[in-house]
Amino acid sequence: MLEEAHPLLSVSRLVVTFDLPRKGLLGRPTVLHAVRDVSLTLGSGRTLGIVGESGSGKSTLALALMRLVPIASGSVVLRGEDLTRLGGRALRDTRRRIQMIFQDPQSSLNPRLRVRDVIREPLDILAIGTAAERRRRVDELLDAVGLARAAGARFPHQFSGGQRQRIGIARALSTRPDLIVCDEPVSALDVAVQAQILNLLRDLQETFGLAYVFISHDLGVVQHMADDVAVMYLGRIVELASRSSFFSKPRHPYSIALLAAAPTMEHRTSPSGVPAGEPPSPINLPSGCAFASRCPLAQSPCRERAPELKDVGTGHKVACHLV
Amino acid sequence: MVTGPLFAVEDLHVTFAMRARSVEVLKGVSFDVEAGETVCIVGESGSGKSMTALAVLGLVPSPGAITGGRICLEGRELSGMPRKALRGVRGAKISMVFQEPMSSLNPVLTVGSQVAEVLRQHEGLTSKQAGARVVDLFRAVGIPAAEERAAAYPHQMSGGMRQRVMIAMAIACRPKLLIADEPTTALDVTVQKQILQLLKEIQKQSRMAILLITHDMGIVSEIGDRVIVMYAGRPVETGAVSDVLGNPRHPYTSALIACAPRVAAQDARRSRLPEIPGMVPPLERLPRGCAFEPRCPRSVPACRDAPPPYFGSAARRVACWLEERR
Repeated sequence: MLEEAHPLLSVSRLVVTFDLPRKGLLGRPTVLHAVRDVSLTLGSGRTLGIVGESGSGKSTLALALMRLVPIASGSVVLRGEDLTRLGGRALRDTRRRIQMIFQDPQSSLNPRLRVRDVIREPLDILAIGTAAERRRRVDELLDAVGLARAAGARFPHQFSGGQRQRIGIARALSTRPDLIVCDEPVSALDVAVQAQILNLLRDLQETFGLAYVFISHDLGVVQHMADDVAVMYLGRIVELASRSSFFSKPRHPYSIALLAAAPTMEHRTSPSGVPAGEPPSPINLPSGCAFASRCPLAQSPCRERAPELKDVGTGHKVACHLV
Repeated sequence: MVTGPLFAVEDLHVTFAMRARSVEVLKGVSFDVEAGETVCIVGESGSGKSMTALAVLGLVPSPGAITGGRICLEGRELSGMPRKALRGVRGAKISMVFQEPMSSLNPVLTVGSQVAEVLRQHEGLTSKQAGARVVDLFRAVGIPAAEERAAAYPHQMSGGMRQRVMIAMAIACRPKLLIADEPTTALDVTVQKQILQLLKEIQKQSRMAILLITHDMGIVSEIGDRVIVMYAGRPVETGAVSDVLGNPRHPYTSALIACAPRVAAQDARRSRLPEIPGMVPPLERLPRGCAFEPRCPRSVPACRDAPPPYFGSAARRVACWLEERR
């Protein structure tokens, strides 16, 4: 993985926690640890794929990058500005550089706005351009995502899932961002439509020099899209590597298990390699490695202290005592 | 003795009659499933794959109705069977697992009591007998601490555990045929693999037939023996999984296989994915000829004139005019 001197995005020791309501009057307050000590960097025009199962913290990480959830500690630096320290006007100005695409375009588009107003809304909120400029921009964006200009006058529910995702992408592009956080952007789509949207995202990346944080549970999709891959488990990054290094030689036992579980067209299911059980609760964290309870290789140190994410050569980082 | 397949569907038609017009959503679906066999139905949304499952169970929602064809289990015809008799078959001989276990379980009853109800209804067990069987079933589907978990409510379980409860319920009466509609779509990949393996194990022990509905060719390749590829309410290609996936003959099957990116150990070149242009046409506005023709990269003028008949043998059928000249 390439380490750049001045990456577009640099996340350092990011922590996100949620306070849960007490159980009963005398219960102790409980804390859910959603993102734990995450550090990563992303260069301009590149794609970082983030893989993990539900509860791994990948979607919370996405929201934290957008500052849509409270950040407990750590920093999110975009083009030299720490988003966690900005407020008011300065935060708004920086936010136009980072946008988001959601999994379900049905629930992330306001059903009562016409498509052109959905796409124009970020420009209105951030007061970018004159009214005439914004109208022109909407037409440009409809062209860019492959929708007819006439689509602007219709409502989101009049479109198919794939077309709605195109609307969501046009909205994200409206402010000319440097970075788009894509949270499971194709998971709700049929495979044929999924291919269309993935191709569109790649074309737009080339045209506009976009960087993507690309979150997906589908390793095939991540291998197709990403330059670098981060694997999350229970709020932590357990492996971080270039795409080729990761897929040719995954090192963390959890990554190996994930790859073994991914359905392929080449071979029939083999019972080996699938971890038993399910991830532990993010409320009562285990003291050692979070994966130890399911890991086929776990030894006693694994249950005692949590492994650090360390470089095992050529930028391939793994958090495992046994690597 | 019964001869012929365990389960057979012949020329099944389902039509939704609306006020002004009627729309045929299944246009002649035929297939059979043998004991101990897994048949997968694969297709995109709108292909009719879930409707096929509902029709088999006699659960076509109003204003839809079965308008033609036969459904037979062990030689007995289910279509047209009185409602009460059909209820006896459903749950006992044919059972179903749905995609989202949360919405198919009753949130205010314990999971154990819901599985026990099936046993009391269909096998006439007492509450006590049923309770004991539930614990056995939970063990069989790999629910840890089965006795305690039987007293849990659905919201206290993870998605994977809820799906195991659904499977326990589905196999409670040792059905001949299990219909699973996207049983792992809502689950994580490692849990998905566990559930698919569980279904395979149960099948191995009981020779239960499985009809599995999915949109994922990867799952077909993992557990299917035979596959039915559906498009716009009609099977377009059927055959053994290894034949169909290894050597697809219908252009739609080829496109479906090609357009999904798959994990490969050798680093993939970042080429564009092949696309199927456009989308599944609305069923009320299907073209006169082959339904896939407007999106097909290999269409010829003949494709526009009439829907293709089936070519090939019973073991490998393809509905495509290109087969005529093979």
